Amino acid sequence: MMSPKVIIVSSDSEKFPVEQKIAEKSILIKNMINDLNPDGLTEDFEIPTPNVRANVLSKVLEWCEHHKNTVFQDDEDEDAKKSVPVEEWDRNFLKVDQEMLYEIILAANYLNIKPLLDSGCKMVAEMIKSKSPEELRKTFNIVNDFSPEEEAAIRKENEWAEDR
Amino acid sequence: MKLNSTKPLPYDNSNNQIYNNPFITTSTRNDDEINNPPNKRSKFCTSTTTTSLASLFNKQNRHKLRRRINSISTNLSYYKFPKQDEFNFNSQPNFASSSTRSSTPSSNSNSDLESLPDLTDDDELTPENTPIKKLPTINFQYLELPTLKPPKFQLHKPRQREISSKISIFEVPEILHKIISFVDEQNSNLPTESTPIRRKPLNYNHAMLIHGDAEIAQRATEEIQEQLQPVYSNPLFNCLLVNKLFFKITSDIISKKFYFSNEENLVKFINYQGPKTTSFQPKIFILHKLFQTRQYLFDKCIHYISFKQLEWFELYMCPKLFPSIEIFKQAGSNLKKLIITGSKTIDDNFLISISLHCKNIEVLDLRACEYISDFSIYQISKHLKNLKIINFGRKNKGHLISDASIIKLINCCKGLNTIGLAGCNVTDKTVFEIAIKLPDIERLSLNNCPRLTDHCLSIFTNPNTIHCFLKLKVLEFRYNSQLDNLQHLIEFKKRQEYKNKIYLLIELCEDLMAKYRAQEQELDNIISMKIFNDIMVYINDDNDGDSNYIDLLNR
Repeated sequence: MMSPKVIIVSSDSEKFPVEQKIAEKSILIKNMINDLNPDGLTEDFEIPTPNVRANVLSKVLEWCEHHKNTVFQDDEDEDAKKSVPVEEWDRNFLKVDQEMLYEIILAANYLNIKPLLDSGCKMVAEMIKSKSPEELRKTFNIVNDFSPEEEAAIRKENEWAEDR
Repeated sequence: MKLNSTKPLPYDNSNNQIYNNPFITTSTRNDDEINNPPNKRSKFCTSTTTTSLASLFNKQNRHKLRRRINSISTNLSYYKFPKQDEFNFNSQPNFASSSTRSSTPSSNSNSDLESLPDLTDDDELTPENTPIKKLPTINFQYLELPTLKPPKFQLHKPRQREISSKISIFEVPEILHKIISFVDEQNSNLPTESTPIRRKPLNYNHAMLIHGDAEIAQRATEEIQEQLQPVYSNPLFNCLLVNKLFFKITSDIISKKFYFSNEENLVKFINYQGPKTTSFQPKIFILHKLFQTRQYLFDKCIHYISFKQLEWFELYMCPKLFPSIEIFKQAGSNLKKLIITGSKTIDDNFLISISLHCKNIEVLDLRACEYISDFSIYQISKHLKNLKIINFGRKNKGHLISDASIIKLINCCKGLNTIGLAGCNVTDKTVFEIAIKLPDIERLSLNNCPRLTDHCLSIFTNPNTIHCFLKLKVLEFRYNSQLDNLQHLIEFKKRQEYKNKIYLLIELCEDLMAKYRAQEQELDNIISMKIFNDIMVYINDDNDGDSNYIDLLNR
C-alpha cells in the first residue's frame, strides 16, 4: 500500500502531493499533521497554504525534497550558525530573481522552514554588503521615511560606526 | 516588489524641503509640522505612498480648500484673511493652522493658535515664516496634480490588491532582523589578532629546517602582506540610514557588539552620546591596541554602557586602561571570556575580585600582564571551575608564575584544553600534571620555559602516560635550548599521526629545529636499517615455506 501523501495546496489552488517526510521540513505543516492526526496519517491529508503561490511553493518543495535527509542542527549554537556561509547547493538553488527570492523567504518564514529562511536571508545579507543607503533603498524598493535632517543626525551620531 | 517604486524624493537643498512631490507641499508639510513634532514629518511622505484612496481624496479635498484660500489670500490683504465662516468651513484643525496669522478678532481659536509656534522648534517652519507666501509656486504642482496623479494611482492600486497578502520582506521585523544580523556576522570584523596557522619562521635557515624546500621556505619568511579590504563604510552603518525600521533593528544589533580599534572613533562615539541615548548593552566589549588611550576616555565611554549582558571583555594591548570592578560586578556570571593583554594596571587583587563575581569565565588570557602572579592564580582556581583556555605567557617577570599555582589550577579545572605558559617559571612537574590530569588538552605552549628539562619530553612517550595527550594538536617548545633529547617528540608526533590521526604541529626555534631534524634523520636511518634487515632475513631464509626457485623452474 502506498503511504498516504500530504497534499499542499497553493494560493492559486494548485495541488502538490508530497511525501510526509518532505512536507514535514516545514514545522508549520509538521505541527499541523501531528495536531490533526494524533495517530499518524492514514489517508491523504490536504493542507492549504493561502499565502504561497504555486511557483513559489514548487520551489520550496524542491528544496525540501533535496534536503529530505539532511539533518539540521538544533538552535543551540545560534551564533556559530550565523557565520556559516550558505552551502553550495542552496546558493545555486537561490539564484533566482529578486522577487522570487523574497517570496521564497516569505514562504519559508510562513511555513517555518528555518534552514531555508536562513539561507535566503544570508543571500540577501550578501547583497547588502558594499551598498550605500541610497543603493540599498533602490535595490530593495524601500521607502526612505527619514527627513533629511533626521538622516543627517543619524549619520552624525553614528559616525563612529562608519569605518570599522 | 514594485509597489513601493519610489526613488527617494529629490531634495531642494536650499531649504531642505522635499519638492516636486505632488503629495507634499510646503503648506501641507507645515500643517503637519504644527500638529506633529518635526521629526514625525517624514511619516507623512511614506504614508501618502501607501495610503488608501480615501486618504488621498481627503488630501485632494484639502488641496481644493487650499487653492481657494490661496486665491483669496492673493486678492485680499494678508491680515483680512480669512473670515470666520470661511475659517470654520471644514473645521480641520490643520487647516486652521495655515491661517495662523489671521488677525480676525472674532476667531475663537485665535488664542490657541498663538501658542502653536511653541510646538515646533524649527524656526523655518513656524507660522511666523508665513509659508503661505510660498504657496503660489507650489500651487502649480497642485494644479497639475489631478491630471497627473490619478492614472498613476490607478496603476498602483490593482497591483496592490493582486498581491495583497504580500509584503516586502524588509517590512517584516523578524526577517529584517535576521538579515541584518547576518550582515553583521558577515562583515563585522572584530579587531582580534588573527591566529596564524603556524608561527612565522625566525629566519631563512629556520624556515629551511621546517619546510625543507627552498621555495616554500622563502615564501614562509616573507612578510605576510595584509590583505586590505576595499575601503567602504561598514555595511551596518549603511543599514542604519535606509529607513526607520532598518535604523531601529540595526542600532539594536550594533549595540550588541562594542568594539574600537581606533581612538578617534572612540572619541566620536563619546561625543555623540547624549544623555538620552539608549545605553548600550553589548555582549562583546573590545578595545584593541589603543596604546595611548587614557583612563578618562575609558571612564567616559563605559558611562554609556550597561554591562549586564556582557559575555566577552577584551582590552588588547591597552596598557593604560584600568577596567573598574564595577563592570565585572554587572556582567556577573554572564562573562565567559576575559582578555586583558599587556596591561600595566591590573594586579593580583584585581584578578581575585573578578573571579569572585564572574565564575563562569572560560577563556582567561592575561598575556604580558606582569603584575599577575602565583598568588592570584592560586586563588582564582577556587572559583573559576569552567576555565577552558588560559594564557599567562609573558616576556618579563616569568618568575612570578610557577608550578605552585599552575598545578593547583590544572587540578581544579579539568576542562582545560589550551594552556599558554610561555616565559613562565614552570618545571617538568607541570607538564606531568597536564599529562595525567587534562585528557582534553589540545594546545600547549611552553616557549621559553628555562626550567624544563629533557625529562618532560619523555613524558610524551612514557608507556605509563600512553593514554595522555590523545587530543594534542599543537605543542610549542621554542627557545628551550636546554632540551636535547627530541627523539621523544619525534616518536610522539608519529604516534599522534598514525594512532590518533592528528597531525601534530610542533613549534621549535632554530637550534631546536636543527637538533630535531638531525635526530629525525638518525631515527629514520635506524628504522630503515631495521626494515632492511627484516627484508634480508626474509629473502635469505630457506625455510620460509615457499617453493625453491630451482624446483619451480623444473616443474
